[in-house]
Amino acid sequence: MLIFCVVSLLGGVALGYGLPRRARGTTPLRSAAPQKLASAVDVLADLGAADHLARKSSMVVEELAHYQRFFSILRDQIGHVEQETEDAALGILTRLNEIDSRIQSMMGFLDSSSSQDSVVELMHRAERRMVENRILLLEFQISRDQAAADGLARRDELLGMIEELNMVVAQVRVIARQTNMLALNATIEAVRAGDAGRGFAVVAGEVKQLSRGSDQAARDISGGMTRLQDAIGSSLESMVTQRLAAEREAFAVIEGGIDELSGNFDLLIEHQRVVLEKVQAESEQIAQPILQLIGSIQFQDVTRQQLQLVSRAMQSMSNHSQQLAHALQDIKNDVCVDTIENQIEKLASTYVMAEQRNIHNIASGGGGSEEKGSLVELF
Amino acid sequence: MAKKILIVDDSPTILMSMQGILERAGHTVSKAASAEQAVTLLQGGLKPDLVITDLHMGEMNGIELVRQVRKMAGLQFVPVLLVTTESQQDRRIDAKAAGATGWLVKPVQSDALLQVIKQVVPGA
Repeated sequence: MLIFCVVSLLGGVALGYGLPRRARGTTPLRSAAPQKLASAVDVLADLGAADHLARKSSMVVEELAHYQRFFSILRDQIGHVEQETEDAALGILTRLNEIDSRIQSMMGFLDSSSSQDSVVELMHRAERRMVENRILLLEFQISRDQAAADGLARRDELLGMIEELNMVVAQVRVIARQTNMLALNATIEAVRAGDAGRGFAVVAGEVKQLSRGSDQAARDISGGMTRLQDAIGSSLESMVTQRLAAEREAFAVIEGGIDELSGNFDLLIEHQRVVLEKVQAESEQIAQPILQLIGSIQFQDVTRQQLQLVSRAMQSMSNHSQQLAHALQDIKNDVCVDTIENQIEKLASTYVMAEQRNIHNIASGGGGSEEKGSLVELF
Repeated sequence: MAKKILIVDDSPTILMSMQGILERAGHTVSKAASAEQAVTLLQGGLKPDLVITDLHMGEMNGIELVRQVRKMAGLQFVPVLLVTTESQQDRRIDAKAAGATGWLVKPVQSDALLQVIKQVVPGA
């Protein structure tokens, strides 16, 4: 450590004027009056300059005393900045961690309970139910068609039976007509038989009545059969046909709805897949910059160290100003003061970063070419 | 695979930043705000798979911490990384001589840190 004592020029001059030394004016005035007067004037002039010098020194000492407070204020300001940046950095880190945590939670949720696979499985299950329902609908439609066909077949069967009955009725009428003819012939023979044929004529008349009655009954039956035939043939057929058409129309509407629903399910599955993929991709994109930000916030520690260096330098300057003030106050003695040059060298010895040394060298008129070195080195 | 990592630094910002990076990668993190506190934890039974330490801290610096770790039973071969703003080459040499595994310059990028951990910690 290089320390050299500063014999202040001012102090030296003050030594010359401040101490009671061999008085200049001690030689007798009688022997050399003009010279002595001149010397006395010189002494008086020197004493005035010394007094002025002393006042100046006091002023400088007083000013130097204020430096201590000044540097203290600046160190406190720097300390405050250091604390503020640390608090802010911690706050930012806390929020970044919160954001990252929420993203991780969302991605976990997407992976587990709302995954594409489980949603697709649900969709496929619903689609299978729709297919089953469509099959049931089709089977029901087939059974309804079959029932309608059976109905029409039964109708035809009934109409056939009615036709057979009509034929029987026709035969009955034929028999009735023949019976009537027989009765007519019997009546004629009864008239030919005279009195012996009266009874026969009565019987013949009764038979004729009977045949007419039979014929009438047969006509009545025939008329009823015809009406029945009409009823079965027309109204039943129209009722079945209309009902069948209405059901087919309703089935077509239901089937169309199922097809549309199935198509929408496919679109929904595809949309779900696209959305999930997009959300996962974007979440991963967000997560990476957040991780980098969490690492980058370390700049605050670098800044903190640089601020601490400045604060230590200010303390050194404060100590130096006190030493200077003391040196000026104690003008009678040689006072050792650690020089500014020494302070600067001490400051340089505390540097840890290449940037600090480069800045120092450039400000000192030199070069700033120190390399930072590799950021990662494995031994 | 998750590893147990001890971080030592007198800066709360560095501790929190490193913890965030490492825990997000799935590792378990213990923290110490000084080398002395780290020694206490290690002597108390903590057996990390990796130690990451600052260089300039309080009374005991990171290089001295490396020497202490190398003397502890069961920790002679645990990787120790120094993370620091220091850039002087002779300090790196001192660290290597003390038994450090590697040297990283602050601020450490998250990708670089995780990559180094994979290289120095088996199975990470």
